[in-house]
This record gives sequence, C-alpha cells and structure tokens, in this order.
Amino acid sequence: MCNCIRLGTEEQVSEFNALLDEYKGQKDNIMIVLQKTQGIFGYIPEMSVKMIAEALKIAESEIYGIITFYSQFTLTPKAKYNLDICLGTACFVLGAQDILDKILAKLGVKVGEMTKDGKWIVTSCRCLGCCGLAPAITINGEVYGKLKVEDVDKIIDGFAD
Amino acid sequence: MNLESLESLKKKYLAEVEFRRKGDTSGVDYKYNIMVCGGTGCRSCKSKKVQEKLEEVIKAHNLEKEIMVNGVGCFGLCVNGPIVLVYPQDAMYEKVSVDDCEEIITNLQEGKLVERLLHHENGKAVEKKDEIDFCKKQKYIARNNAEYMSLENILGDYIALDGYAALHKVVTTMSQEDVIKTIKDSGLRGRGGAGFPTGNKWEFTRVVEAPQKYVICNADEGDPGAFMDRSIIESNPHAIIEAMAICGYAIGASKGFVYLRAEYPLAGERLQSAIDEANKMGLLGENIFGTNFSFDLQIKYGAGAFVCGEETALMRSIEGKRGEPTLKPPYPAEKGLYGCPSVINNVETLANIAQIINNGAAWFNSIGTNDSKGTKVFALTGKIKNSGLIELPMGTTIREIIYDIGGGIPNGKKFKAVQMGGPSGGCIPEEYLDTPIDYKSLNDLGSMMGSGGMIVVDEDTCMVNLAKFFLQFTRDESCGKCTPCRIGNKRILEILDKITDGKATMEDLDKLEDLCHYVKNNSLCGLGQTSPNPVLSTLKYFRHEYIEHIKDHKCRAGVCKALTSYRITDKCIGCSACSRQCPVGAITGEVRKKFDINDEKCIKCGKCFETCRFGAIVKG
Amino acid sequence: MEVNIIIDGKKYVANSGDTILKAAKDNGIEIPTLCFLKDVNEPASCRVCVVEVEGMRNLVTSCSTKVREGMNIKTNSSKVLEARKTAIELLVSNHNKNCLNCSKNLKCSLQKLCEQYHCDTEKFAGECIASEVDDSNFAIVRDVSKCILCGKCVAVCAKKQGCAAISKINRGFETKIGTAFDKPLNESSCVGCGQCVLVCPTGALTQKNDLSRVLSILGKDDVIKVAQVAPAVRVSIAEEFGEEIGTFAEGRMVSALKECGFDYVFDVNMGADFTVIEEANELIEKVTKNENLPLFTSCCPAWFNYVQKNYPEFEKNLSSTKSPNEMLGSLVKYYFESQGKKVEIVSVMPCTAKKREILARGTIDASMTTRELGELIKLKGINFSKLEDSKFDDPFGEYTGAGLIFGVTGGVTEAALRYAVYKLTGKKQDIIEDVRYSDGVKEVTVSIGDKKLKLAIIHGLANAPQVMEDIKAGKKHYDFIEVMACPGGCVNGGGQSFVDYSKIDVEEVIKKRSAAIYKADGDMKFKNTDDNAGVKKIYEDLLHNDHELIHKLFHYTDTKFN
Repeated sequence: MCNCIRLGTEEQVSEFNALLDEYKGQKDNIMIVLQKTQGIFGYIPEMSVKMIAEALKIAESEIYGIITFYSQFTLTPKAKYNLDICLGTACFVLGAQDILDKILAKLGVKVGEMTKDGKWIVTSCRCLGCCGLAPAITINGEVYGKLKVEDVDKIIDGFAD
Repeated sequence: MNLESLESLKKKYLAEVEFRRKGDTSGVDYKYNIMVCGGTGCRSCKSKKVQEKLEEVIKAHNLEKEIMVNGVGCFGLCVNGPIVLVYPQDAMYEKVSVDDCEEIITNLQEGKLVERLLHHENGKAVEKKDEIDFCKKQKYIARNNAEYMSLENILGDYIALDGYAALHKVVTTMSQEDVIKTIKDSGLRGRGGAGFPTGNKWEFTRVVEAPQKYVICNADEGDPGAFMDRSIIESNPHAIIEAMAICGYAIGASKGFVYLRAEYPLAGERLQSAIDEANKMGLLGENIFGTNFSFDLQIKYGAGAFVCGEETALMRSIEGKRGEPTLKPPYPAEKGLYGCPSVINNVETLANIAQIINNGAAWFNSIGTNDSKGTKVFALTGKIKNSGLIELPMGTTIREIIYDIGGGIPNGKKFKAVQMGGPSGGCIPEEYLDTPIDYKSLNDLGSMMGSGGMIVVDEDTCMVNLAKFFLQFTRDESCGKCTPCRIGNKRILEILDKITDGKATMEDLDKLEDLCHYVKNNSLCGLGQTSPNPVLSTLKYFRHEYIEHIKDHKCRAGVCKALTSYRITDKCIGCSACSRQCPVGAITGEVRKKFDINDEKCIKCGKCFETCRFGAIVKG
Repeated sequence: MEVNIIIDGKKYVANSGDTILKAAKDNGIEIPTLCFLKDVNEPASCRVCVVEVEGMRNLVTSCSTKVREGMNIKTNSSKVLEARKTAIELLVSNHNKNCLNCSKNLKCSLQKLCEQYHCDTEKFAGECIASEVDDSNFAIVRDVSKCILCGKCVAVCAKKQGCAAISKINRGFETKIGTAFDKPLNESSCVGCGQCVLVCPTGALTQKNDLSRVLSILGKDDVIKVAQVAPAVRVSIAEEFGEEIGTFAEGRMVSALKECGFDYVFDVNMGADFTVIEEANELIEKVTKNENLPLFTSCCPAWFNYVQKNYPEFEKNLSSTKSPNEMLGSLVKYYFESQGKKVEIVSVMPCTAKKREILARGTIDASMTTRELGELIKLKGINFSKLEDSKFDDPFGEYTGAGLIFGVTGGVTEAALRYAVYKLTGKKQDIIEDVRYSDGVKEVTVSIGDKKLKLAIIHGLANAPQVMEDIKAGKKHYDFIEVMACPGGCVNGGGQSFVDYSKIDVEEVIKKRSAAIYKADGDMKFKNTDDNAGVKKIYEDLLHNDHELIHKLFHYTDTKFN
C-alpha cells in the first residue's frame, strides 16, 4: 500500500486499482490501460508500470517498450502550465537569460523541475521560430513575445486561479 | 429494428432535412434553420460559443419557434471558420464571431442575410453556398449530405437521408457474393494509400474459412496536412458504422474495430455515441434486422505513431504491442488481427460503401476515370487562397483544383509545386498541372494519391528544405525495425542537412540518390518503401535547386539559413525601421542614408526583410 | 510436397513450405543473415538475406519468402550483392567500430560480413546511437553501441527464457534494446543465463571476462591451483579450435588445463555423483515426510535466480543439496585445507550464471566459461588439437555416467533415478529414456517399489511459469522437478562455444552435444553413482561418515544467495 501513496492521491489510486481489476490478465488491452493510467495521473508513473505488469501479466520491459514507442505516452508528470522559453540566438541576445532567471526565481524552481503545487514546469528550447518576437516564451503552446523582465510577474500572475 | 421502424424514423426526420436541402417548408413549423459548424477546425475558432450565443439571442428575441439552431458537420472551408449555414436561404457565413450573432438574428427575422459575413469573390458577396467557386466543382459522395445533418440528431438525420437502408438491403436481400460483386463492379479502390480494389480485398477475406474474422477501419490519419477522415467521422459517423457492418456481413465477420488516432478526441466522442446509439437501436449487435447477422463494433485508440497507419502495424497496435509492421505475406486477408482473416479499410473508402449499395455499382462506376472511379477527398493546404477539404470526381485536373477551387496562390506569388500523398508522396511541378487526378497518373509522376493531402508551395519554398521536412518526419516516425528505414532514412536526412548547409559535394548527391533507391526497394513496409519519395520526386523535378545549393551555395527561396544572406540595396532611404526590428543589432547606419547589415552578426531571421516597406532588402 | 526450383542456375528440389533460406541451406548454398533465428526471431528486418526472384520487382528476404514451383532464385547476382553491401554498410555506420578492443573481434558476424562484402565502413558515417557500457550485471555485459537491433536477444529472453528482461525501447533511429526504464541490467529480471550472449551476432552482449582473474591465480606460487570442469564443457571446448560441434575432448581438455599451469584438474562429474546421493536422499526424506513438495533441483544457478526473482514463495522447495560445482569446490577446499594447504579453485563452466553462484557462495575463486577456457588455451599458445589425452587427478577425478549426464536436460533426474531405483529395489537400470530431451515440459510418473513418484523435467525457463502456476493453483502435484534454465540443459549453456546459427539450428547443436554425452555415458563401465568407488572412499576415508560434516559440506545452510 505504501507504493500507492507515492502514486498519487487516494482518489487517483482507487481509480487506478479499479482499472487494474477491470483489465486483469487482459494482455492485449495494454494500450487502453496505459491511456487510462495517463488519464488518471497525467502521466505514467514508474510504480504504476510495475502494477500494470503484474495485473495484466506483461513483462515490465515490454510495457516500457510500448510506452517509449508511442509518442502520446509520457513518463514525466505534466504541469498544469508548461512554460517553454526560447534560448535561440535572437532571444538570447535580447536578454532571454534575464527573463529565464526572473521566471525561475519567481516560481522557485530549476529548469525542468515542477513547482510544488504541480502548476508549472519551465523548459527551454533551441528556437521557437519566432525570432521577430524575441525574446519569446510559450505557455501551453501560446506565444508571448517581445518580453521584458518586468512582464514576467504579470504574465505568471495572470494564471493564478 | 425492422424495415417498418426504419421507414417510420425516416418519415419522422425527413421534413427537417428536406427543409434544409430543398427549402421545403411543408413539414416544419419553424422558418429558418441556422447550422453552426461543429468540426474540429471551427470548434478551435470558438464555433461552439457562436452557437450558444445564437441560441441566447434567439431566446432574447423570443424567436425560438421561428429560428432553429443546430450544429453541423464539417463543411470543408476550414480556413474561413467558424462557418455558419443558413437555411432555407442556403447561404454560408464565414469567420463568424460572437459579436455577429445579434445582427444575424435581427436580419434573419426580416428574412435578410448579413452581407459582410457571406463569402466574397471578386469583391462580390456570394449568396448561395453552392455558387461559391470552392463548392462549384465539388461532388459529394464520401462527405455526402454532411451539410444537411444536424449534430444533435445525427442518427435521425442520417436515417432520413437513407441511412441504414443499405445495411437493411444487404442483410435481408443480398448474399455475401452479391455484396462483394457490387463493390467489385463499382470499381472502388482504397482511399488510404495504395489504392487496392476494395471488392477484391473483401473477396480474399471472405473465401478464407475461419471461426473469427475482423473488419477494421483505419482511422489513424497521420499524414501531416490531411484531415478528411476526421471530418467524415465527426460529421457522419453512422456512414462508417453502416459500411463496417456491411463489410462484416460480406466477409463473415462479427466483430469490428475502428483504430482511431488519439489526437482526434472529438471524432472519438461522436463515433462512440453513434456506436452506442446504433447498438441501442439494434443497428449493431445481435441479429441485426432480425437476421442471423450480428456485428459488434469497438473503438481502439492509437497513441501517436504514424507507422500505425500501415495495416500490419495497426493490427499489432490493436493487439497491444509496439506498432512494428510485420512482413506481408501473409496478408491480413489470410492472417490479420490476432491471426484471423481481416479486412482493413480506410475511413473514406468505407464512406462510399452504403451509397454504392443504395445507388448501384453502375452509378458509382460512371463517375471518375477508367482507372479510378468515384470521387476523392483532398485536404488542400499550403500557399493557397481557399484551403480546406474538397471532394472531387476522379479525373479532375490539378490545375482545376488549385486555380478554380483553391483560388490560386495568394499574395501574387508564383506557383512552384504541389506536394501530394504526404511523407510517402511526391511533388508535382507546374508543367504537370493538367494531369488528371487518378491513381495511375499520380504514380507515373512519382507522386501518389495517398490519403489526399495536397500541399501547395510557391516560389518562397525551398524544395530541398521541403524534402528535408518530410524526411525529418519519417526519421521521427520510422518504427526502427528494419535497417533501410531506421538507418537509411537517417543517413538520407544527414546528406540533406549537408546540402542545405552548403557543405555537400556532387558525390553526396549521387550517394543520396542511390540511398533513396535502396531504401525504397529494400524496406520492410510501406512507410520505408515510400519514405524517399519526397527526395526522389524533388530530385526529379527540381534537381537544379539541389545543384544550386551544392555548387553555387545558393538557396533561391532564401530558406536555407546557412546559404542565405540579406543585403540592403540602394533603394534604402535610411528610415531605420529594419535596424530597430533587428533582434541582434546587426543593422547599422545613419538615418536618411543607406543602412548596412553585418553578415557575421546576422542570424538570418528575416525580420528586416519583412519590415522594409521599400523593397530595399534582398535575400539570396 | 516437393517443388522444383532453380538457385543460381542450378535445379533443385525443395519442400514446399520451406523458405528460400532453408532450401538454399539444405543444398549447401550460403545466404548471410543477421536477424533470423528459426522459430524464435523471424522479423525479416536486417535485410541482409535478400535474394533476387525472377518476376518480382524488388529483392525479397530469403528468410521469409517461401519457395514456389518453378521459382528462379539468384542468391549472388550483382544486384543482390550490392543491396546486401548497402545493408551492412548502413548497419556498420551506426556501430561502434572499435573492433580491436572488442571481445567479439574475429568472432563477430557483422565484422565477417563487412570483410566478405568489401564494405566501406565509413561510407555512411553519421550520428551513432549514444550509449554507455552496462556492466552492472554479474555475468552479462551490454554495449548498445555495438547493437544492430537484430532482436534475437529480446526474442530468446522472452520466448525461450521467459524473463523478458530486455525489450526494444524507443522508436526510429533512437530504437535500442533496453530494460524496463532503461535501468542497469542488474535491476532487471535478468537471471544471467547468457542465452542472449549466444545469439548476439556482435559484441553488444558478452559475458564478463574473468580471464585476468584466472591468470592472476595461475601466477601465484604459494597456493595449490585447482581447475574443476563441468560435464558439458568437454563436448564443446574443441569447437573453440574449429572442431566439429559435439566433439568429446575430455582427455585433451585435461591436458590443456595442466599445460595452462593448474596443479590439479578435477572433475565436477564427481561432484555430480555426490549431488545424486545427497539429492536422492533429500527427495526420499521429503517424500516420506510429505514436506515442501515438489522438490526443485537447485544446481542450475539461473533457475535459482529465477525462483528468487519471480517465485520467492517456492524458495523453500529448492533442494538444499549443493550444485556439483559447489559440492566439489567444498570438498576440494576441505581436502587441502585440512592438510594445512592453501588452495585456489577455478571452475570451468558452460554457464554464465555460475559467476554469480561462486560469488554468492564464496568457495570457488573464479569461474570461467567454455569460451574463456578456449581463450586461455590460445593465450598460453597451446596447440589443442595436437594434445595427448590426460586423466583427471585423484582423488576427485573418478566419475560414473550418472555424473556425466548432468550436462543434459533430464540428466539429473535420470542419474537420481538410477541411484534411487537401485537403492530401493536393488535393480540397476542404466538407461531411462523417458526423462530425456523433449520439447517443453516432460512429465513422468515412475514407480519405485511401492512408491509412485510424479516428476517433471523442464528446460528453457519459459516453460516454468505454467508449471509453477499450476502447482500454486493446486491443479497439479509433483514430487520432484528438474529445471535447467537453458534449452537442452548445460550442453547449450550460455557459456558454451559460439555457434553460427545461420548455418546450424540450435536444436541440432543440442542434439550433437547431447549425443556426445550419451555416447560417453554408454561407453562407461559404471553408470550408477553407487558404483563410484571414489565417492565411497571419500565418504568413508575423508569424511568418516560424519553426518554433521557431510551436511555442512554438501548442503546449503540457507537458500538465499545474498
């Protein structure tokens, strides 16, 4: 049971256990089980794979092979808001690093790390392809361009629920 | 469900459909019917909000009895969404926003249209949707009647438009052989790629004796730029359900799967509720129409792997494995899903089936060319004015599609080529614009029908770069099983990189061509066997561009950054606009004098080029 | 049904249903292949075995294309050779070409093909798959940078060995073989059987090499250096020197070990004779008491690992009798140490998993595979084929056929039955065919006097889970189960000589090596452990029938490895 605590909330775990019960021993339904697992947790936790392997009677390595084959599956938790900052040449020259530092300080995380409340993950990329809008970030795919360090507070606070 | 109840349902809903189709007001008690597109394209530009707003305004004006609002399936002109259709005027509004709703309703109250929302051609509003150039040459079979069916009563309207009559006819009056003969005689060929005759596929599966057979609908539409299958499922899911049941009857299968892209949640939702409805009405399930025929249908979702559009990979995926293609033979007809004989048809192929049964093989056979019968749906995108979904009789020329329907190239640019068939297809240059669209003609040109993606490119596109785009796609989507596709495509891409970086030699070009032929001839599955086509076809028609990159270090389209440089000509008046836009401060100069670009600093983002209003900046 | 075909212009008759590859092989025509492993891995993915068939637009893979009447096949046209060459060049473009440092140097199938096809290994030079060497496992070393993704290891691990420790992971160019979550192999379900090493065409999967350890022991002057050799090594070691598969080379092997510098060369067969006695007694005791049945053999270390990883609830059913290797090792240590002498023992095993057994038990100082012994003999410059025969040394060189047949599946059971039947009935039965090689799980019921024993013999770990589940579910009852992890038993162990499976099927290899063992057994004067005078002497003279001592030396006191 201690495994389950690490998996997610009580609700998520009970939903997940029900899922395993439903598909117990049904090897060929692995895809749907993985899809539903990702639906429950937002990603496929490592621990869940062990449990799926046992319930459906598939080797863990095989499940991992399936997960890494299909691009929809993700093994890392997704945040509510995924902020991608462009560190391409144009953005970099126009102060993307300052903006990145400001964002990280504001959220109190490192690049690639999720905030404690699970809301934000900051990643960086090579080029968003909108050099004209440099420096630029995207939040859940939407572009925010021509940023100044001062804009950061306003943009992030705008996502407060 | 029996014939009487089918007939009575048809009667019940026919009036609404006839009102839309023919303006026949006799059976309905409202005066107007507004239909808001509920396809994924229009939904993403907030069509749902428009529909809600319209309902709200109608309520506010107490017009609920006069004006009826529904959702409707995809109309095809997605670029101008949200699309709103108005009946009985038969008009089409485009780019409708929430703010337009009040005006739409108040005008409609007086029977008037809102002119500014109508589609305009040559500065004139077109009142009737069928008179729009985009629609004129179209012929709907696969996408039949989508514009007349409401999303709120999808089964009712489908039945009103003869839905499930074909299934009834098949299971109550026809033998398996009859059905297959009809499909064979119709000349229908697969719409998903290679164009294999559908009737033959069914026949091969029927003759294999097995306790279990399967019908599979391939809805894993993965070609970048193709979305006809999504549109069909979203607009008319029952057409697919009915066709699969007919196929099940014909080949002796009691179970079917729709393998749907996970990226199509709306299609999945609509298809699932249609399946549930069909089950409830006895159109699926045990003893359909009181006969011995039973058919069960289930959706299986993909998880983001292009290769699963390949039929053997698709079956492995349904079985819960990595979607790696397996060798053919054995063909699915002998050993398919779970080792059982299986038919795999694409969505668009299936969308033709019920109508062939209803209207007869001869009717279908009379449409199209000798080699290719019926119609084909294309997703026309890229550098084209009217981009969207179009359905045309086979044999229509590419020129007609691009200029008459697509409205030509925007911004006065020059047409360069049309890329057809996605990552498996090839480019067709201007000199072949009069080629009729059919399987053979396209193959002869080194392209292919594929799933019907048509991407138009103009002079601003670098053909080497375009080939590279597709190879990047293939590299990412190759399953990695066989050597030619896994490593060969990677090496092809590396050579292309070398070319666009200006580092390649003419020997590299030979190596590229040899390797392309090797991968094409030696790969295990269709993906690998067609993946070099974008390179081979651009090498065939645009070899000079490759050579320019290699010998002259020049990219004529100015796309390949390593080979592009920006220069300011004497036309410069020294307004300094470019300098202010340059993200890296590469442009300097004195106001009112000619500015200069420092090539070493320049990152070739092209911002200055876009900014200059005097045509003083040239690239090359 | 037979069909007439033409291969390279000559007429042949082939069985319909056969592939072109099989038909060619049957007629002595060589077609190279890297991914094909009969019935186990037939993906047609390496594209090296392509041939030209008249009337077909493209080349076809001979491993998957069936012969048809009148088929006209070209296996060596320029078109074919060119295509094969490109496939090999592409594979090698994504292959770590540090061949001189590779333990498969000169034994690598890819290297051989490169040479044969005059490949330009730099023609398609480009990005290679990044990797680190994974040597976390006690026996198996993985180097993904040398992998050509033939998939044989994955197939063997899952289909034959039921472990599925590794799988294909990722997609496209990034595809590689890895464990779940790409963790080190020692954190996977790997049991170290080494079957993957046997099928790997390149150096991507190799066993840990303990040669330097052995050499350092051989360099010591102050210890007695002992080599002890498992039954199955003697029917494979000659293959290291190009001799026929299944050559019985016991005498030359002993000579070679002597020439290598070992003071004594002892025979694990004798250890096996002890195991027979102890295990038979253990069985009789457990059956009498009806306790912890079935009794599982525990001499196969990969099987031992497998139980620990997958069925810990059955650990108590594993026999406490030591494996012949550990049995003899303990005796040897006791023998010399009780004389106040220092001894270091090197065991030569057909097995990779033994490397873990000796580590865990701590009695034996090094364990090398048949292949490593081959390397040692070559290193020492010994001309194996010219060697004269020698005999094993006393007092641990005397064995019976019962000890020898431990090297094949069913051998432990047969040896134990020979002994038990004699003990309980006074009758000597030398050959018990019923328990010998068969596909899958063999079930036998034997009557010994008034007792009926239900036995099962399993080889190939993939056959084990069904039996285990049946026992757990109460569907089946057994008294004794012999399990050998490797298909065919130790003759086909993960440490045996490499065989080119494109020329000979694994079943054929098992057959040949087993035949050599059974032939030697047949030729032996004594086939029953009870007839081993040496064994009796040790019980009496060395151990003085001291039960406590015997138990300590011959039984594991706990069943845990670590």
